[in-house]
Amino acid sequence: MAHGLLKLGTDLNQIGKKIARGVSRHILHWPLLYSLGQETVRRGLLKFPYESKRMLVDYGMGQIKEAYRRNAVLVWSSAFSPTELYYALGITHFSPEVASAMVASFGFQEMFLKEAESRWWGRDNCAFHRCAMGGVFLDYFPRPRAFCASTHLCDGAVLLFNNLAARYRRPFFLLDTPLKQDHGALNYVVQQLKSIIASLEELSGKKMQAEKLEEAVACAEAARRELEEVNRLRRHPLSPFNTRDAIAYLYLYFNGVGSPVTPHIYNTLAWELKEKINGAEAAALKPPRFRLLWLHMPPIYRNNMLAYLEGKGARAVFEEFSHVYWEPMDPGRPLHSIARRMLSHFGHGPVERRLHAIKTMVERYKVDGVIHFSHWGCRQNCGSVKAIRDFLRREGIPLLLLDGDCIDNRNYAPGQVQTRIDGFLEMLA
Amino acid sequence: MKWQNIQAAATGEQLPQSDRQLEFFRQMLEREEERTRLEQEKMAWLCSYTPVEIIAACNLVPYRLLAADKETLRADIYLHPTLCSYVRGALENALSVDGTTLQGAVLLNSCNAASHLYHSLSTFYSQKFHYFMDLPHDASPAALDFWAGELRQFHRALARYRGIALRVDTLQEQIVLYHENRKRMAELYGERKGEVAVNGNDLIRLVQASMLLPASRFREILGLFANHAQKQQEKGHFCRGPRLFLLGSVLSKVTIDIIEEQGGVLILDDLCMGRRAVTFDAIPAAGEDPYYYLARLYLGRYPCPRMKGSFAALDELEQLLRDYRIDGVILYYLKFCDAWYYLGQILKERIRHIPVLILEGEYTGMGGGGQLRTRIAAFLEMLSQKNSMSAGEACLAPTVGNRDVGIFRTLDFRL
Repeated sequence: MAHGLLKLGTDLNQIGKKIARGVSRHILHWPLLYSLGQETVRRGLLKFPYESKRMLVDYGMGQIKEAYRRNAVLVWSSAFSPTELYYALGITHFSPEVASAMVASFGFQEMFLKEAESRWWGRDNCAFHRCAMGGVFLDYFPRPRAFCASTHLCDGAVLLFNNLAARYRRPFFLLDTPLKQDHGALNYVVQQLKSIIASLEELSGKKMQAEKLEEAVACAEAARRELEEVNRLRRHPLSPFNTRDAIAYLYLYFNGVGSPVTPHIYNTLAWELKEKINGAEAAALKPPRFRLLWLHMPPIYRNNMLAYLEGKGARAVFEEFSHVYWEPMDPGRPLHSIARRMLSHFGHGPVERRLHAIKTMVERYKVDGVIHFSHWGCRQNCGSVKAIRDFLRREGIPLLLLDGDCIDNRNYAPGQVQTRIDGFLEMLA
Repeated sequence: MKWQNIQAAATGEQLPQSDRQLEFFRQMLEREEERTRLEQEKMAWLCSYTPVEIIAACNLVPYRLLAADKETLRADIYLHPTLCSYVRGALENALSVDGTTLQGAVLLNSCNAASHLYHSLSTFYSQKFHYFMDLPHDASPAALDFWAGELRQFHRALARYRGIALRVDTLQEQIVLYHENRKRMAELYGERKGEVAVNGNDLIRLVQASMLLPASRFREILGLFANHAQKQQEKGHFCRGPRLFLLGSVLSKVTIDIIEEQGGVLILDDLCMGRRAVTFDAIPAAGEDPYYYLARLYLGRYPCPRMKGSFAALDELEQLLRDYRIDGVILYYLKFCDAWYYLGQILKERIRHIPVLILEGEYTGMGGGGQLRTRIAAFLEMLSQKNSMSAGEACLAPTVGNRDVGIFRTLDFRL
């Protein structure tokens, strides 16, 4: 009898969870929810350390709201795809990888990961993608009309989008980004951009207007300049802005290049940083004992890795994803500018490009050491470890290699990480 | 060698003539491969999209860099453990004796692991010639133009390294030679919808030889093997056992041989060490640039999972399995091979009416041979039982059929 009651209770519990999940899924599909969220943010009911972050959250919610609109022409885009095109055409885009990062930042990643793993997604592939697939299987994400991805850096993104396109039976537009950076490669990318524009025009029923494309590229260029200014301020010894703060702003790098809002947010951030640095100088605050460069991304789920560093007097003052690697963009030659931006990513092609970028960042931000976070499942990142280690050894720069996962927290062992950080900081001292 | 043959050899029994001939071919291939391995005029390549005709046109033997069937102790120093064991094994081979007889290596950016292998090879191994080439993801007109240009550049660089003049007529000769070999291989793979006289693992073995031997030498061996296959067919010496479709990442012949050993008949495969690497063709247009032709030939072939068109090709899979009367599918994941992780997941969902065995392991099969053998044996036993049930109970219970296979539909075995 007792067993029966217990079983009944368990069943009810399961049913309750299922209902709750179903309800939450439906609520998340309401654009109204994000309008309410935007109002909450705009009215200052939520507190943010930076005004620019408030603007960023407002902007992000607006994008998600658009993505969930029933009549939206929604394209799912990979992390490095040319977002300028979407802004120029007025197409809404949604990045499943960024969505995974958001899910992890809210602490819901385990449910998503488990769902994907129950459907044959092994734990050896990238957790950003696995988490995104969990969202697809659980039907949390808005339904796409097409998929668009670029091939540089991440093999998994191309494969993920190929899988999704086959699953949803929707068109897949692929930007093949060659390793070389010569004239032939540039022309090849430009040709493909033209072809993608034609496909997006057909999909959306909108015609690409030359001035809109120029405008998007002008916005991308403005954003680049503002981000450079932010990065210039981050070189200051008293800059309080660390990698933990910077992670949220990567949303703009992945989703906001080409948007008129992005330069405003970066501009506001730069202004705020100036104020804070001035305040710190006036208060005669001490700079951190050790300045560190963070390679790849830190974990997105709740963890104390960066806070622990801060507590020990070390600050991750810069992270490689914030590095401005591309040359100024010319709105007069929009497609060539976008193509150059795609081709010039330092993580794509021979590893020497990444080594060169690391050296530039080490010198520019005057760091005492480097932390390389090896995200499990990222072949591009992990594969370079040996080359980076040898290079930094030759340059006499201390390196800490941390293995972990940016999204999946199930193997996160804070004690072990802290011990390794302690050892590293002792060596720096 | 078949399991029965090992027993026969142990007891001193005479092998059947057909098996003796097969053993003769296998030993001949071993001998020829060993001879090529010791030659100095070889250029290593890794991905089956490599245009080997260009290498051969520069008087070098295109030699596929296979992974060593041993532990990758030295390679593990250079390559991260989350890169697949195939590239680590390939580096191990290059760092060992094999590497000393190579003139260099040509790698394509087929995947992140291949890129890192290139870096390791060029940095830590003092080869004379290294070339890293782009590989587009589809066969769009822009991709063909781009890749034709890449191939021309590669030919120029290799000819310069060899100190020879770049001759298009030599390249065309090699194109013809390789075209003929592929055509004959495609014929061998062709008629497999009915009874088959040659087990698929021998075809895969031939494909491997085609990747290691000079094309002219391989052509002779291929001719002998084709004659043997034809005689077997005429005599009605057909392979008996569950009809299998093997697909997945690159895998060693040790793993493939286990399937035959256990009594499975490989009807089809989708491997870049097998059917996919040889069964493609294109007719050159009049006056067509040879580089453009090569780009069209390679990019237009049945796609590897890394290519854009690979997932769309799944739509034809069910029909293919029906046409070839496949009893079971074996999907082999090479650990850390992203391309097959992402494709295999959806493939698993698409195959609904045929049992699928999913295996995951290392290229070398080091330490996993016993487990593989047990799992494949259990799968084949299940297929045999299902076949006999279907045959025996069909008249008693007409409803028993594919629908009842549901409980066996998928067996997931991971090493």
